[in-house]
Amino acid sequence: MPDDTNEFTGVVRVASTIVDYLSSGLYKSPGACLKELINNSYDADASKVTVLVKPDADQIIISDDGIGFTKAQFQTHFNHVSESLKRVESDVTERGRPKIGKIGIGFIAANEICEEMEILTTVKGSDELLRVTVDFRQMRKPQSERRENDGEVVKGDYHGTTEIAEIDDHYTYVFLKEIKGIAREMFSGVQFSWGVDGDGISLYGLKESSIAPILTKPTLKSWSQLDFYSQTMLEVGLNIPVRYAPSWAPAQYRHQLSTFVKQVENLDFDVIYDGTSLRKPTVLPSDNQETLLSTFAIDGKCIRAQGYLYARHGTFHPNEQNGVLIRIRNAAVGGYDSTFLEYPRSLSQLIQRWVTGEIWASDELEEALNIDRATLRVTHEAYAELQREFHKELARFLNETRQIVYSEPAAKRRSKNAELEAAKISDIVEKASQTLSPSARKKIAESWDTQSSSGPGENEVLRKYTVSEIYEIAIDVANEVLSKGEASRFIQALAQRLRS
Amino acid sequence: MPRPVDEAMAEHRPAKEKIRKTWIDDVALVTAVDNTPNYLTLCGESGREIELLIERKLIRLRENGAIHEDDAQKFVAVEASSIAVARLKTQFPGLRVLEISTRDLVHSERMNRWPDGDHAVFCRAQIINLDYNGPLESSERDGQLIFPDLEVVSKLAILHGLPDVQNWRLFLTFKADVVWSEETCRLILKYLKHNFDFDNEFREKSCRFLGDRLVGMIDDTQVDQFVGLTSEECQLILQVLVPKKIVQLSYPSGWSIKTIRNYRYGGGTTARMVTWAFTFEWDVRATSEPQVVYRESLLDVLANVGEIESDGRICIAS
Repeated sequence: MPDDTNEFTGVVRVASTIVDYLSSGLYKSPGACLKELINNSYDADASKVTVLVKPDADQIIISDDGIGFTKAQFQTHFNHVSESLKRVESDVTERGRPKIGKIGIGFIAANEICEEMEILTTVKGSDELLRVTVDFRQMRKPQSERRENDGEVVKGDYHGTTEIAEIDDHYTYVFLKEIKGIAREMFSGVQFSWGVDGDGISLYGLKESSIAPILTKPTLKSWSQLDFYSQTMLEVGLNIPVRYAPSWAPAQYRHQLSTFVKQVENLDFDVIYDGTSLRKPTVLPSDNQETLLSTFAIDGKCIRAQGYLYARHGTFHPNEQNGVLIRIRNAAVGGYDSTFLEYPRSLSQLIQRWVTGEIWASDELEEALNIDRATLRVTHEAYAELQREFHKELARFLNETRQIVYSEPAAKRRSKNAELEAAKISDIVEKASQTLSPSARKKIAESWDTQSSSGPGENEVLRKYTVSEIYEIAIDVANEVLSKGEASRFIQALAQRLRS
Repeated sequence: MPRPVDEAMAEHRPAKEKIRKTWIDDVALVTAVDNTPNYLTLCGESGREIELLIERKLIRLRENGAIHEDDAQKFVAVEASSIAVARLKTQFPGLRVLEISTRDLVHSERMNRWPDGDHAVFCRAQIINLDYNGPLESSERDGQLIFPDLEVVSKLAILHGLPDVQNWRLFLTFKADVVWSEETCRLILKYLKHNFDFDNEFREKSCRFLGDRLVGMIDDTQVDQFVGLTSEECQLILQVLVPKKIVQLSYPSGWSIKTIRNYRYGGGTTARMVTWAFTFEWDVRATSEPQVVYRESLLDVLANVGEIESDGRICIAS
């Protein structure tokens, strides 16, 4: 029998400083923190989220018309950070949206970018307006600095009050205050922009309809040519479940892509970022080049997925989009993966750089998602199966791209060039009609008639000669048909002509 | 719940609209100066003034309706309520809105703490509009009557003189429905009587403006009568008291102060209000002949008194 006196149990109480450890370095950019808060609004069934950053990002405001939360819900959530409470009742919202948040650290992302966060929220049917201020500076302090003489922690991590709200109102306002130095500079976009066409460009103040044409400009090689404000805006748009831009894909592919377009449209989620309705920054420019689009579906044992791959002749720009983007529950997993889930670089290396694509994976992949929501555990069986099946799709697509986007157009171009070259020969012969006999002209014309079955091949027409080869041919022919003196004069004149 | 101030701001009142347009006319005359905002205002969450500035193209918009970056440096709104800040910025994305009270902006009405950094820059705006939409608050300190909101003006005046001089203009508005304690009433009466005694010309002008009943209260320090002032009478008292106090507090900083508008409006179903516009011009005589500068400013206090009718017409007192 166990001896009661030797046994003990207890609850592990985690210091709030763990929040700082959890979030420090978790997000690779300020935009990644911001999208966590916007995804919170999505999970709160908001239709419209307003994000206010400009003019100088000293304070960032995120407001939504979602269901809000009560004091009890706030306390439950914040007193048990990282405990999975969001999906206790259901993993879909009342509106039927698959919830993005899982472990409940979305708000904690704010710790990465600001010193203080104020939340104002109310739920429909309640006349209580909850106002809470979370002091991250306080939370970052070691417990030893926060104890009084009796050893109890005395300073709260947050301070809340309740006020009166209209009973029918439901909303949440999040105020991120005292934005940290570099994050503030990045949000406000004060950094130098390298510009497009030599002009510094910011997306601030532009309508959504004006942004897609900028992103498809051939001169925009990378989002880094835009200012940091714009890059952050694009990064946020990429990661949240907003719509595609109206003209994001070439017209001939819109029907094939309509499934993906409708999927996000049905979510009815709009984010207004300093007055601009955010769209996914995904664009499929053609630049009047050969293009190829292929959709696919994967129905494996551990995972289901659907997606598309798109290729265009030449390196894909903007280069942030070269690769494949995975979406789980409509939210992106980080950015585009230019390794295509570790597809061997040795295979079709050139053409891999021409490709972009997206994968909508089923919920099973969520288990492979790391805490940063930007990377996946490659050892997870769902990921492994997705990788394997996707690579098959990619291999097929790369072959098709090589054939349709690269080889066939190359053959067409070659044939056309041969015809042009033959036409040039005809022109030269025509111009030399005074010196050439009709029979000689006829002979030349017949020799280079590409339409004739006995005519030259493309290789003969397009063959290129070096200077030494021309001398060798000319000397041989001159010696065969001219006298010694004439051959000598001809070679000298030819040498002079080739040198000039 | 909407705040009374926001409801008042959003309410359509021709008199208020008239005074707003008058402010915007003044703003239109401002020439931009580097590193100095053109205009700082307490516009409330409805942001009607911002709308007017946009209508007049003094604030330009980008194609999505956000404030043009260049103009965001020239116009600053101040709002103490965070939710009002959010609503104002939602309506005008890119607008610079400071979430702070005016007293905190100048780091309290006391003279031992001063703003620095951006706040110091904003405090030097070429026009500052303190549209309080509340009563003139008062307190006592060491037996002296203190009006914290007017002390704020005094600090703003000092900040406009440092490190270099920036001539400026102040718009100020208070609700006339003041509820003063007996002690405050006694101190106000004492203050006005002292000033009447000090300068006969000021007394004469004030008497003509205030009328016998109010002058009698001041001369005889009739606290019991003064406590029961009607809001209409409060308007008249404020029209004398506030500019006088501003002149007294600010001329030592080197400013010659002109009271270019001294209007009352409201009544009936709307709150009675008093509104002023002052110009602060740097006067080199302030060091050598301070009393001259003071007296000129004092005698100007009632030079432009008037009333804005309910239909928005301005009637200037002859």
